[in-house]
Amino acid sequence: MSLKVKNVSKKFGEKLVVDNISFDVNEPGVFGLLGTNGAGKTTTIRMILNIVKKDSGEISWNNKPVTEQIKSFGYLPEERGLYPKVKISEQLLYFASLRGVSRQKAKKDIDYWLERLEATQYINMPAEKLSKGNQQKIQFIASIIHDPELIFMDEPFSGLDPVNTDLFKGAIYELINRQKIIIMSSHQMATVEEFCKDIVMLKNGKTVLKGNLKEIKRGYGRNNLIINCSGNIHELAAEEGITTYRQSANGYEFKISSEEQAYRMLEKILSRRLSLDKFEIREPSLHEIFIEKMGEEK
Amino acid sequence: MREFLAVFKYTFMENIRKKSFIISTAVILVVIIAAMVIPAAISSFGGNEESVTNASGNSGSSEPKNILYILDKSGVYSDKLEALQQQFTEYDVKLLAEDKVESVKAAIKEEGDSYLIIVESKNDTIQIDYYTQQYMEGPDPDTISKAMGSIYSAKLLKDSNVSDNTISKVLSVPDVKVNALGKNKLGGYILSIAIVIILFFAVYFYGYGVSMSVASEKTSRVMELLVTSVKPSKIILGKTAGMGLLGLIQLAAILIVGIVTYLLVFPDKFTIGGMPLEFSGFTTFTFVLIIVYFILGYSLFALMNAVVGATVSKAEDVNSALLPMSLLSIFCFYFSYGTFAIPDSTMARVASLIPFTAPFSVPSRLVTTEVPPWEIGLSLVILIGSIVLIGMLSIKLYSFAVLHYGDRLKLKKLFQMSQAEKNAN
Repeated sequence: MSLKVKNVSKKFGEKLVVDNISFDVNEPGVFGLLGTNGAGKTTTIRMILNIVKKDSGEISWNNKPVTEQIKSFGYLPEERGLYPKVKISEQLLYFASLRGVSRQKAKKDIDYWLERLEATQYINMPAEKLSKGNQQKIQFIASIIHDPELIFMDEPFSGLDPVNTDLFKGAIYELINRQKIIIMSSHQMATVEEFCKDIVMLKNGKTVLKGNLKEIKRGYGRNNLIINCSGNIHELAAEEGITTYRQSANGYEFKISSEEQAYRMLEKILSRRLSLDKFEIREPSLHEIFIEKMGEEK
Repeated sequence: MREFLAVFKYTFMENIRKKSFIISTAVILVVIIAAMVIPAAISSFGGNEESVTNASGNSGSSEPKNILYILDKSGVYSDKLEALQQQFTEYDVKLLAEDKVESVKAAIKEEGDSYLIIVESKNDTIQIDYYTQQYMEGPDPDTISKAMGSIYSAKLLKDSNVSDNTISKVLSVPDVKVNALGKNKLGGYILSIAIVIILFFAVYFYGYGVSMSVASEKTSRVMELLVTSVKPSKIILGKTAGMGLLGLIQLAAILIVGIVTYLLVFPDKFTIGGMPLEFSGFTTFTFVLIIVYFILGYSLFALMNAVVGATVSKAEDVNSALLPMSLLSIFCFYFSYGTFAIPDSTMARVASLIPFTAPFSVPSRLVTTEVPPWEIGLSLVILIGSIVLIGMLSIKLYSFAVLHYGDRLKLKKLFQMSQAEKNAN
């Protein structure tokens, strides 16, 4: 299984929306297509799926140019698309029949996924009666009903409450365990961070960051210090030459240049007998990397 | 093929279950049955009434009859009251004295339940003034003229010593029995109008249905999922076929219910002014061809409508986007409608060959005249050829239009886009 995107570009009118993007996905797991709104994520997915014609570049799946094979892919579009007046069971069966899934198998899988996503009670309701989150669940089932190897999910978590987000995450983990490749676009870094093995970060159609997420983070180093404690430690930090990066209700966040700085801070806090709730040295989160990358060159 | 069938089956099943379809079909069928049963009921009811009054007249029952006054200034009718009463059995015929004329006229004007005939003789010809409250009420002027005339003729003949036997022969009206040997043009004409109107509405509404269905898939954004699952050509063809079958079923139901009701309600031929509504032009062959022309006409218009439906982003815009299509179909309908009266005219023949008018023109001509087989054949070839061409073009334009959101796509833009695509490949 391998998806290759090579030097793909797309213009809408005079505007270059995707500028020479390349990436490969060779292993099961989640590939993150990250970026702000309008960065070109959806257009990239649509180009791979042949919904939007690419202007230049090559896209191949298992070393064959992507054309007819899109029918074997799964696709959870950004804009939810269900027949508003049609019963959930009927439209899911229809989508399955379009993909060539036998009625019997489709029924079994629909039941399985509805139960998995706690949506069984909606099976005989028309889509328009369902909440946005529940429609999203149905859309999710529609996109994987034919058991595709490669699945595109465009902003899968948008509009979901925390409970449903967790249900979705569970379902996505299950797909990963079934050895699926998932291309997931998102601008919610905190939500997708736990899934992504590799990422491409887009800004105005250009690639600003690309590669294995762990390696990217390692490259940044463990330069984030988080301390939650009683008392004001601004001055302690100032003595050490550390500026406060952010102060929240619970504590402090510092940018440090070495781990030694952090340990010296710890000693000072302990020697003053301040009660300590949390002391953490860590790599920047995907969210922080994202903010930094998007902020550059502005 | 599997994908086509899936779309086809889904479109059909979804729409046949729709309340709007079930209700509209039921309403149409009820209207058709009512349209035949009600006139039949009225005429048979009216007939009964007539026979009742006749019967009561014969038995001399007490039911009062309207009075027909006769003021005879000619002196011809004064002793012929009995003969007049025989002519006007529904009325009580009375002679009137001249001095009562004004009061009777006033009564006619006010009450309207009596009638007055004033007969004068000038230079030996009879002149009649007839007074009634309203036109079309009371005895028919024709009947009056005939009755008065024949009595006068009989008197003149008798005065000239002609025998009674000869008089009755002279005055007998010859019985004319009409035997039309050709296809009944006028009877067929009414039938052909009915058929073409049904065809037009079926083509129009089901074409509209295709358009709406495409637009709503676009609006609900199901389209994106569909085009990544199925080739656009399969969607447009499957959808068109699904709606077409639905239309066909409704059309068949209308025709069958119409024919069955006709046969039940009018076991004898239904006549309009003595002319039977003729079904001799309505053979199995005609029936099959009507169905064939419906399928083809519908396909032609539906394929174009599908593209129109694909050009809009919101279902509300379908109507305005469809306006040119609606005008085209209405124009075609009226063009062929205009040729009905003379089904063998050059115009009618031309209408049978133009693909857009042929679906309306040929079926109507089939029931009114003998259409040469070569004309039917040529018309079918042109129509099918056009459908194939328009179908291919529609599939192409549809694929581009379905994924375009935003402003409504103009046809010109659509062509440019598809052209640009061709060059890129």
